[in-house]
Amino acid sequence: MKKNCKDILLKAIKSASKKAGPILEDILDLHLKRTLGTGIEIVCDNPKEFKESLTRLFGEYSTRLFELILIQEIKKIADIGEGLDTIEEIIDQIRRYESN
Amino acid sequence: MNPIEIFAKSCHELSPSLIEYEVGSEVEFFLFKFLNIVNKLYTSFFVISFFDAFKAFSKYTTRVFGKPNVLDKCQTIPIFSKESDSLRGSIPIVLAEIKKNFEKLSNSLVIVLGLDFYSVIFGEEELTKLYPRLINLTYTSNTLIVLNTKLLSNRAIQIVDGFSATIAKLGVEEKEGKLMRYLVLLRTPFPEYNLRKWYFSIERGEILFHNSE
Repeated sequence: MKKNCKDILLKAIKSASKKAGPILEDILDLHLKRTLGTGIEIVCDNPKEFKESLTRLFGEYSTRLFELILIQEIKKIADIGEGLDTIEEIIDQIRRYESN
Repeated sequence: MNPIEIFAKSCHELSPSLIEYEVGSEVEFFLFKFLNIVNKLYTSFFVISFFDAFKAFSKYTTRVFGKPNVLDKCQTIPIFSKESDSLRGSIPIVLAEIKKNFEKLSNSLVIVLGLDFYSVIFGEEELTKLYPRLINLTYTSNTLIVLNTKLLSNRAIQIVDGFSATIAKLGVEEKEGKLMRYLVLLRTPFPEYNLRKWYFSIERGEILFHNSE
């Protein structure tokens, strides 16, 4: 099955944001544009920077919670990621599927 | 008294206590300030940490405050941690291990972190089974639970709230693209403060409370 990393992640972020708090997606997008000059799509190219930026905005604890929700959403959308614990790991796995 | 002091006083008088937080409310900062206020009241802080929640808390506080003394006072029992020697298992196994550690303590504040992480991974049904049993286990001590309830259904929130004597909510609102953080004391033994809402900001290592409603 062909999986597109960007589509999966953006869909998962929207869904995770909706679950964690209705204003989060807008705030997150605005924060990323202000601080990094890009929107939530940065998660595909640089998940580490995405997480660091999230930490500056939300704190360590909320960022970890958001990451766990995001991973659950990715699992639901793409049916991958079992046993994986970080966004970086799951993106690696999606990329491997993409290249197959 | 500022609202953290009111909450701390309330927790000491009426336990178990619950901090319901939303993503973005910087709950670690609030918890850290809270622990500093209650520091003298307890010999130790007994932290039950699910999925490395305490690690996230200590990483944040160390980054923001250097290496604060209050962390040295924390005895942690990691559950479902990435560390290899971490406790894993069904609810009875987890509770038995906590009980074993808990019996050695006296005059400790029990802090439960990461139950929301647990709920994301195992589902809220498991959380609603675990929560009351965990509270029953720790009923002889003052207990503080930190939990994101935004993810939970009304039924689960009712269960969680039903087992909490003191409740504070940390939330966020968006105003003109800015994140506004607030605190509401939902349940305390001080009726004059219940349902009051304080907006706050974090500046130079301090929480500044603004107008209350």
